[in-house]
Amino acid sequence: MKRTDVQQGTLALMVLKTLQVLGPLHGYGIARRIEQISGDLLSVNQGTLYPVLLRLEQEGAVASDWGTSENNRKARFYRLTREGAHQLQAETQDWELTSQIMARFLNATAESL
Amino acid sequence: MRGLKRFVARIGNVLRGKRGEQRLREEIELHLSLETEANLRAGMMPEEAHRRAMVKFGGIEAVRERYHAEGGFPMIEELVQDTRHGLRMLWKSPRFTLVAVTTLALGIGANAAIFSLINAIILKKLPVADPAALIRLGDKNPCCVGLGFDSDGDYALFSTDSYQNLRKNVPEFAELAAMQAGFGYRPVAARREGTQESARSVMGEFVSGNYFRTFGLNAPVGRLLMDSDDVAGAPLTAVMSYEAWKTRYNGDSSVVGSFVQNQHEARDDCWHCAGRVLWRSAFKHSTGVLPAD
Repeated sequence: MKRTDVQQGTLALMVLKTLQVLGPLHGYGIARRIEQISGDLLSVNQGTLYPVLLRLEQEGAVASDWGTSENNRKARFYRLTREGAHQLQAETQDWELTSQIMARFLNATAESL
Repeated sequence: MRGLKRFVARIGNVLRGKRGEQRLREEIELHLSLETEANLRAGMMPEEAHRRAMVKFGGIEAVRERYHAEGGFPMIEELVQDTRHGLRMLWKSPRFTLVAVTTLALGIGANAAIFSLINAIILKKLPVADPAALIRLGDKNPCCVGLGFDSDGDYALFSTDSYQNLRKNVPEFAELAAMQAGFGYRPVAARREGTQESARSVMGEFVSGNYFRTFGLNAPVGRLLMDSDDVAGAPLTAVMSYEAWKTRYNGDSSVVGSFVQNQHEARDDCWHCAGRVLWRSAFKHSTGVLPAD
Protein backbone atom coordinates (compact mmCIF):
# COMPACT_ATOMS: atom_id res chain seq x y z
CA MET A 1 0.00 0.00 0.00
CA LYS A 2 1.17 3.45 -0.86
CA ARG A 3 2.22 5.59 2.06
CA THR A 4 0.55 8.91 2.48
CA ASP A 5 2.24 12.18 3.33
CA VAL A 6 0.95 13.89 6.41
CA GLN A 7 -0.33 17.40 6.18
CA GLN A 8 1.05 19.77 8.75
CA GLY A 9 -2.34 20.61 10.24
CA THR A 10 -3.14 16.93 10.60
CA LEU A 11 0.19 16.33 12.28
CA ALA A 12 -0.59 19.01 14.88
CA LEU A 13 -3.88 17.33 15.67
CA MET A 14 -2.16 13.95 16.02
CA VAL A 15 0.38 15.47 18.39
CA LEU A 16 -2.34 16.93 20.59
CA LYS A 17 -4.25 13.66 20.67
CA THR A 18 -1.11 11.69 21.50
CA LEU A 19 -0.31 13.98 24.42
CA GLN A 20 -3.88 13.74 25.68
CA VAL A 21 -3.84 9.96 25.66
CA LEU A 22 -0.33 9.31 26.88
CA GLY A 23 0.47 12.36 28.99
CA PRO A 24 3.82 14.19 28.80
CA LEU A 25 6.16 12.83 26.15
CA HIS A 26 9.35 13.89 24.44
CA GLY A 27 9.46 14.48 20.71
CA TYR A 28 10.77 11.05 19.89
CA GLY A 29 8.02 9.41 21.92
CA ILE A 30 5.39 11.39 20.05
CA ALA A 31 6.91 10.43 16.71
CA ARG A 32 6.99 6.75 17.68
CA ARG A 33 3.43 6.80 18.88
CA ILE A 34 2.11 8.40 15.71
CA GLU A 35 3.97 5.82 13.69
CA GLN A 36 2.57 2.94 15.73
CA ILE A 37 -1.01 4.08 15.71
CA SER A 38 -1.10 4.75 12.03
CA GLY A 39 0.24 1.24 11.48
CA ASP A 40 3.10 2.52 9.36
CA LEU A 41 0.58 3.82 6.88
CA LEU A 42 1.76 7.35 7.39
CA SER A 43 5.30 8.22 6.53
CA VAL A 44 6.37 11.09 8.70
CA ASN A 45 9.73 12.62 8.14
CA GLN A 46 10.15 12.57 11.87
CA GLY A 47 12.07 15.83 11.89
CA THR A 48 9.03 17.75 10.66
CA LEU A 49 7.50 17.11 14.06
CA TYR A 50 9.73 19.65 15.79
CA PRO A 51 8.61 22.79 13.94
CA VAL A 52 5.05 21.70 14.65
CA LEU A 53 5.84 21.29 18.34
CA LEU A 54 7.43 24.74 18.48
CA ARG A 55 4.41 26.23 16.83
CA LEU A 56 1.99 24.53 19.18
CA GLU A 57 4.02 25.76 22.11
CA GLN A 58 4.00 29.32 20.83
CA GLU A 59 0.26 29.09 20.38
CA GLY A 60 -0.04 27.92 23.96
CA ALA A 61 -1.53 24.52 23.09
CA VAL A 62 1.38 22.63 24.62
CA ALA A 63 4.01 23.46 27.22
CA SER A 64 7.44 21.93 27.65
CA ASP A 65 9.80 21.18 30.54
CA TRP A 66 13.11 19.50 30.90
CA GLY A 67 13.06 15.91 32.11
CA THR A 68 15.06 12.75 31.78
CA SER A 69 14.56 10.29 28.98
CA GLU A 70 14.52 6.51 29.31
CA ASN A 71 18.18 6.39 28.26
CA ASN A 72 19.03 8.87 30.99
CA ARG A 73 19.54 11.88 28.82
CA LYS A 74 18.21 15.37 29.24
CA ALA A 75 15.01 15.57 27.21
CA ARG A 76 12.30 18.12 26.61
CA PHE A 77 8.91 16.76 27.60
CA TYR A 78 5.77 18.21 26.05
CA ARG A 79 2.40 18.21 27.74
CA LEU A 80 -1.04 19.34 26.73
CA THR A 81 -2.24 22.63 28.26
CA ARG A 82 -5.86 23.36 29.08
CA GLU A 83 -6.02 25.51 26.00
CA GLY A 84 -4.56 22.70 23.94
CA ALA A 85 -7.27 20.40 25.26
CA HIS A 86 -9.95 22.83 24.08
CA GLN A 87 -8.26 23.11 20.73
CA LEU A 88 -8.11 19.33 20.44
CA GLN A 89 -11.77 18.99 21.23
CA ALA A 90 -12.79 21.58 18.67
CA GLU A 91 -10.57 20.19 15.95
CA THR A 92 -11.65 16.63 16.64
CA GLN A 93 -15.27 17.62 16.12
CA ASP A 94 -14.33 19.36 12.89
CA TRP A 95 -12.54 16.29 11.66
CA GLU A 96 -15.34 13.93 12.54
CA LEU A 97 -17.83 16.11 10.75
CA THR A 98 -15.62 16.40 7.69
CA SER A 99 -14.93 12.69 7.52
CA GLN A 100 -18.61 11.83 7.97
CA ILE A 101 -19.56 14.11 5.16
CA MET A 102 -16.83 12.78 2.93
CA ALA A 103 -17.75 9.18 3.75
CA ARG A 104 -21.40 9.77 2.94
CA PHE A 105 -20.44 11.57 -0.20
CA LEU A 106 -18.05 8.95 -1.46
CA ASN A 107 -20.36 6.05 -0.61
CA ALA A 108 -23.32 7.62 -2.34
CA THR A 109 -24.74 5.57 -5.19
CA ALA A 110 -27.04 6.64 -7.97
CA GLU A 111 -30.07 5.13 -6.17
CA SER A 112 -29.52 6.93 -2.92
CA LEU A 113 -29.31 10.34 -4.54
CA MET B 1 -6.18 34.67 20.11
CA ARG B 2 -3.91 31.80 19.17
CA GLY B 3 -2.48 33.82 16.31
CA LEU B 4 -1.82 36.71 18.67
CA LYS B 5 0.02 34.52 21.16
CA ARG B 6 2.12 33.10 18.40
CA PHE B 7 2.87 36.58 17.04
CA VAL B 8 3.99 37.82 20.44
CA ALA B 9 6.19 34.76 20.97
CA ARG B 10 7.81 35.27 17.57
CA ILE B 11 8.49 38.94 18.20
CA GLY B 12 10.01 38.00 21.53
CA ASN B 13 12.30 35.49 19.83
CA VAL B 14 13.45 37.98 17.23
CA LEU B 15 14.09 40.74 19.78
CA ARG B 16 16.03 38.47 22.10
CA GLY B 17 17.94 37.12 19.11
CA LYS B 18 16.95 33.71 20.42
CA ARG B 19 16.28 31.34 17.61
CA GLY B 20 16.11 28.05 19.39
CA GLU B 21 19.23 26.79 17.65
CA GLN B 22 20.48 25.14 20.83
CA ARG B 23 17.11 23.73 21.65
CA LEU B 24 16.64 22.19 18.23
CA ARG B 25 20.10 20.68 18.31
CA GLU B 26 19.34 18.99 21.63
CA GLU B 27 16.05 17.71 20.31
CA ILE B 28 17.69 16.26 17.22
CA GLU B 29 20.50 14.64 19.20
CA LEU B 30 18.12 13.00 21.62
CA HIS B 31 15.83 11.86 18.86
CA LEU B 32 18.61 10.27 16.86
CA SER B 33 20.15 8.59 19.88
CA LEU B 34 16.82 7.06 20.92
CA GLU B 35 16.05 5.88 17.42
CA THR B 36 19.55 4.45 17.04
CA GLU B 37 19.18 2.55 20.31
CA ALA B 38 15.87 1.18 19.14
CA ASN B 39 17.49 0.04 15.92
CA LEU B 40 20.33 -1.59 17.84
CA ARG B 41 17.82 -3.47 19.97
CA ALA B 42 16.24 -4.63 16.74
CA GLY B 43 19.58 -6.21 15.91
CA MET B 44 21.20 -3.77 13.52
CA MET B 45 24.89 -3.05 13.34
CA PRO B 46 25.78 0.29 15.01
CA GLU B 47 26.57 2.09 11.76
CA GLU B 48 23.48 0.85 10.04
CA ALA B 49 21.39 1.72 13.11
CA HIS B 50 22.62 5.31 13.03
CA ARG B 51 22.18 5.63 9.28
CA ARG B 52 18.62 4.35 9.41
CA ALA B 53 17.85 6.78 12.22
CA MET B 54 19.14 9.68 10.12
CA VAL B 55 17.10 8.61 7.11
CA LYS B 56 13.96 8.33 9.15
CA PHE B 57 14.45 11.74 10.68
CA GLY B 58 14.59 13.35 7.24
CA GLY B 59 16.53 16.33 5.99
CA ILE B 60 17.98 18.12 9.00
CA GLU B 61 18.54 21.36 7.10
CA ALA B 62 14.92 21.48 5.95
CA VAL B 63 13.74 20.89 9.50
CA ARG B 64 16.05 23.58 10.81
CA GLU B 65 14.75 26.06 8.27
CA ARG B 66 11.16 25.37 9.16
CA TYR B 67 11.95 25.47 12.83
CA HIS B 68 13.46 28.91 12.46
CA ALA B 69 10.63 30.05 10.27
CA GLU B 70 8.22 29.12 13.09
CA GLY B 71 10.32 30.98 15.61
CA GLY B 72 10.63 34.32 13.83
CA PHE B 73 9.66 36.28 10.76
CA PRO B 74 11.99 34.87 8.13
CA MET B 75 10.72 37.12 5.35
CA ILE B 76 11.36 40.33 7.23
CA GLU B 77 14.69 39.15 8.55
CA GLU B 78 15.77 38.10 5.08
CA LEU B 79 14.70 41.47 3.76
CA VAL B 80 16.88 43.19 6.32
CA GLN B 81 19.79 40.91 5.47
CA ASP B 82 19.37 41.48 1.75
CA THR B 83 19.23 45.22 2.25
CA ARG B 84 22.41 45.16 4.27
CA HIS B 85 24.10 43.05 1.69
CA GLY B 86 22.95 45.36 -1.08
CA LEU B 87 24.25 48.45 0.70
CA ARG B 88 27.61 46.78 1.29
CA MET B 89 27.91 45.92 -2.38
CA LEU B 90 27.02 49.47 -3.41
CA TRP B 91 29.63 50.82 -1.04
CA LYS B 92 32.20 48.45 -2.50
CA SER B 93 31.77 49.61 -6.09
CA PRO B 94 31.21 53.37 -5.96
CA ARG B 95 31.44 53.84 -9.70
CA PHE B 96 28.59 51.48 -10.36
CA THR B 97 26.65 53.11 -7.54
CA LEU B 98 27.16 56.53 -9.06
CA VAL B 99 25.94 55.40 -12.47
CA ALA B 100 22.96 53.57 -11.02
CA VAL B 101 21.94 56.44 -8.77
CA THR B 102 22.34 58.99 -11.56
CA THR B 103 20.29 56.86 -13.94
CA LEU B 104 17.55 56.46 -11.38
CA ALA B 105 17.60 60.14 -10.50
CA LEU B 106 17.35 61.21 -14.13
CA GLY B 107 14.62 58.68 -14.80
CA ILE B 108 12.57 59.72 -11.82
CA GLY B 109 13.15 63.40 -12.56
CA ALA B 110 12.08 63.05 -16.19
CA ASN B 111 8.98 61.14 -15.20
CA ALA B 112 8.04 63.70 -12.59
CA ALA B 113 8.55 66.54 -15.06
CA ILE B 114 6.46 64.87 -17.73
CA PHE B 115 3.76 64.07 -15.25
CA SER B 116 3.55 67.63 -13.98
CA LEU B 117 3.24 68.81 -17.56
CA ILE B 118 0.49 66.32 -18.37
CA ASN B 119 -1.20 67.05 -15.08
CA ALA B 120 -1.19 70.77 -15.80
CA ILE B 121 -2.31 70.49 -19.41
CA ILE B 122 -4.58 67.47 -19.55
CA LEU B 123 -5.61 66.23 -16.13
CA LYS B 124 -6.08 69.32 -14.02
CA LYS B 125 -9.03 71.49 -14.84
CA LEU B 126 -8.93 75.22 -14.56
CA PRO B 127 -10.28 76.22 -11.16
CA VAL B 128 -13.28 77.95 -12.65
CA ALA B 129 -16.95 77.10 -12.94
CA ASP B 130 -17.00 76.01 -16.59
CA PRO B 131 -13.54 75.68 -18.13
CA ALA B 132 -14.87 74.34 -21.41
CA ALA B 133 -16.79 77.52 -22.11
CA LEU B 134 -13.72 79.77 -21.96
CA ILE B 135 -12.20 81.13 -25.12
CA ARG B 136 -9.15 83.27 -25.41
CA LEU B 137 -9.06 85.95 -28.08
CA GLY B 138 -5.88 86.18 -30.06
CA ASP B 139 -3.58 84.08 -32.18
CA LYS B 140 -0.46 84.31 -30.07
CA ASN B 141 0.35 84.02 -26.42
CA PRO B 142 2.76 86.82 -25.62
CA CYS B 143 3.45 87.17 -21.96
CA CYS B 144 3.91 90.89 -21.61
CA VAL B 145 4.27 94.21 -23.23
CA GLY B 146 7.50 95.23 -21.62
CA LEU B 147 9.18 95.65 -24.99
CA GLY B 148 6.49 97.62 -26.66
CA PHE B 149 3.57 96.70 -28.78
CA ASP B 150 4.13 95.38 -32.32
CA SER B 151 1.63 95.82 -35.02
CA ASP B 152 2.75 92.95 -37.21
CA GLY B 153 -0.73 91.84 -38.15
CA ASP B 154 -1.09 89.42 -35.26
CA TYR B 155 -3.63 90.14 -32.64
CA ALA B 156 -3.06 88.94 -29.11
CA LEU B 157 -2.82 92.04 -27.01
CA PHE B 158 -5.43 94.74 -27.01
CA SER B 159 -5.48 98.25 -25.74
CA THR B 160 -8.04 99.13 -23.10
CA ASP B 161 -9.98 101.04 -25.74
CA SER B 162 -10.07 98.09 -28.14
CA TYR B 163 -11.17 95.86 -25.31
CA GLN B 164 -14.03 98.15 -24.39
CA ASN B 165 -14.92 98.45 -28.02
CA LEU B 166 -14.95 94.70 -28.53
CA ARG B 167 -17.00 94.21 -25.43
CA LYS B 168 -19.62 96.60 -26.67
CA ASN B 169 -19.74 95.22 -30.21
CA VAL B 170 -19.34 91.48 -29.89
CA PRO B 171 -22.57 90.26 -28.32
CA GLU B 172 -21.73 86.63 -29.21
CA PHE B 173 -19.79 86.33 -25.95
CA ALA B 174 -21.72 86.12 -22.72
CA GLU B 175 -18.88 88.01 -21.07
CA LEU B 176 -15.67 89.51 -22.32
CA ALA B 177 -13.21 89.96 -19.51
CA ALA B 178 -9.73 91.43 -19.60
CA MET B 179 -6.62 91.30 -17.55
CA GLN B 180 -3.44 93.27 -17.56
CA ALA B 181 -0.82 91.96 -19.95
CA GLY B 182 1.91 90.88 -17.60
CA PHE B 183 2.15 91.91 -13.99
CA GLY B 184 2.74 95.40 -12.78
CA TYR B 185 5.61 95.20 -10.32
CA ARG B 186 3.98 95.54 -6.92
CA PRO B 187 1.43 98.05 -8.12
CA VAL B 188 -0.33 98.40 -4.78
CA ALA B 189 1.05 99.17 -1.36
CA ALA B 190 -1.51 98.87 1.39
CA ARG B 191 -1.52 98.89 5.14
CA ARG B 192 -4.04 97.44 7.51
CA GLU B 193 -5.97 100.12 9.28
CA GLY B 194 -5.72 100.29 13.07
CA THR B 195 -2.56 98.19 13.25
CA GLN B 196 1.07 99.05 13.64
CA GLU B 197 2.18 96.94 10.71
CA SER B 198 3.99 98.76 7.95
CA ALA B 199 2.63 99.10 4.47
CA ARG B 200 3.16 96.08 2.33
CA SER B 201 3.53 96.20 -1.40
CA VAL B 202 2.30 93.15 -3.22
CA MET B 203 2.27 91.75 -6.70
CA GLY B 204 -0.96 92.38 -8.46
CA GLU B 205 -2.64 92.60 -11.77
CA PHE B 206 -5.42 94.84 -13.02
CA VAL B 207 -8.50 93.04 -14.29
CA SER B 208 -11.82 94.14 -15.66
CA GLY B 209 -14.83 94.38 -13.37
CA ASN B 210 -16.50 91.33 -14.91
CA TYR B 211 -13.34 89.20 -14.64
CA PHE B 212 -14.37 87.01 -11.70
CA ARG B 213 -17.96 86.81 -12.86
CA THR B 214 -16.72 85.51 -16.22
CA PHE B 215 -15.03 82.64 -14.42
CA GLY B 216 -18.08 82.05 -12.23
CA LEU B 217 -16.18 82.52 -8.99
CA ASN B 218 -17.40 83.54 -5.58
CA ALA B 219 -15.54 84.90 -2.59
CA PRO B 220 -15.64 82.94 0.68
CA VAL B 221 -15.32 86.24 2.50
CA GLY B 222 -16.24 89.69 1.29
CA ARG B 223 -16.94 90.03 -2.41
CA LEU B 224 -15.11 89.88 -5.69
CA LEU B 225 -14.89 92.69 -8.22
CA MET B 226 -18.03 94.00 -9.87
CA ASP B 227 -18.76 96.24 -12.82
CA SER B 228 -19.22 99.18 -10.47
CA ASP B 229 -15.56 98.86 -9.43
CA ASP B 230 -14.54 99.28 -13.05
CA VAL B 231 -15.72 102.83 -13.66
CA ALA B 232 -13.82 106.07 -13.66
CA GLY B 233 -13.64 107.55 -10.18
CA ALA B 234 -14.40 104.32 -8.34
CA PRO B 235 -12.25 103.73 -5.27
CA LEU B 236 -9.38 101.32 -5.83
CA THR B 237 -10.37 97.84 -4.85
CA ALA B 238 -8.31 94.69 -4.65
CA VAL B 239 -8.87 91.01 -4.12
CA MET B 240 -6.49 89.05 -2.00
CA SER B 241 -5.43 85.55 -2.90
CA TYR B 242 -6.77 82.78 -0.73
CA GLU B 243 -3.26 81.73 0.18
CA ALA B 244 -2.26 85.17 1.41
CA TRP B 245 -5.45 85.35 3.42
CA LYS B 246 -4.85 81.98 5.05
CA THR B 247 -1.12 82.21 5.67
CA ARG B 248 -0.55 85.88 6.30
CA TYR B 249 -3.81 86.76 8.04
CA ASN B 250 -4.77 83.35 9.46
CA GLY B 251 -8.04 83.40 7.58
CA ASP B 252 -9.28 86.33 9.64
CA SER B 253 -12.44 87.59 7.96
CA SER B 254 -12.01 91.08 9.41
CA VAL B 255 -9.33 91.81 6.80
CA VAL B 256 -12.11 92.69 4.40
CA GLY B 257 -12.36 96.44 4.20
CA SER B 258 -9.56 97.03 6.66
CA PHE B 259 -6.84 98.14 4.25
CA VAL B 260 -5.83 101.64 3.37
CA GLN B 261 -3.99 102.33 0.21
CA ASN B 262 -0.67 104.07 0.24
CA GLN B 263 -0.20 104.67 -3.43
CA HIS B 264 -1.24 103.27 -6.69
CA GLU B 265 -0.43 103.62 -10.29
CA ALA B 266 -2.81 105.30 -12.59
CA ARG B 267 -5.01 102.81 -14.29
CA ASP B 268 -4.73 104.23 -17.79
CA ASP B 269 -1.28 102.99 -18.54
CA CYS B 270 -2.21 99.33 -18.44
CA TRP B 271 -2.84 97.23 -21.46
CA HIS B 272 -5.44 94.58 -21.50
CA CYS B 273 -5.17 91.27 -23.08
CA ALA B 274 -8.70 90.20 -23.73
CA GLY B 275 -9.72 86.71 -22.83
CA ARG B 276 -6.29 85.57 -21.79
CA VAL B 277 -6.62 83.01 -19.09
CA LEU B 278 -4.31 83.01 -16.14
CA TRP B 279 -3.31 79.62 -14.91
CA ARG B 280 -3.23 80.25 -11.24
CA SER B 281 -5.26 78.59 -8.58
CA ALA B 282 -4.75 81.52 -6.27
CA PHE B 283 -7.80 83.08 -7.79
CA LYS B 284 -9.93 80.13 -6.97
CA HIS B 285 -10.88 81.36 -3.55
CA SER B 286 -10.10 85.00 -3.47
CA THR B 287 -11.03 86.26 -0.10
CA GLY B 288 -12.65 89.51 -0.73
CA VAL B 289 -12.42 93.05 -1.73
CA LEU B 290 -10.25 95.49 0.10
CA PRO B 291 -11.52 98.98 -0.54
CA ALA B 292 -9.04 101.80 -0.12
CA ASP B 293 -10.02 104.76 1.99
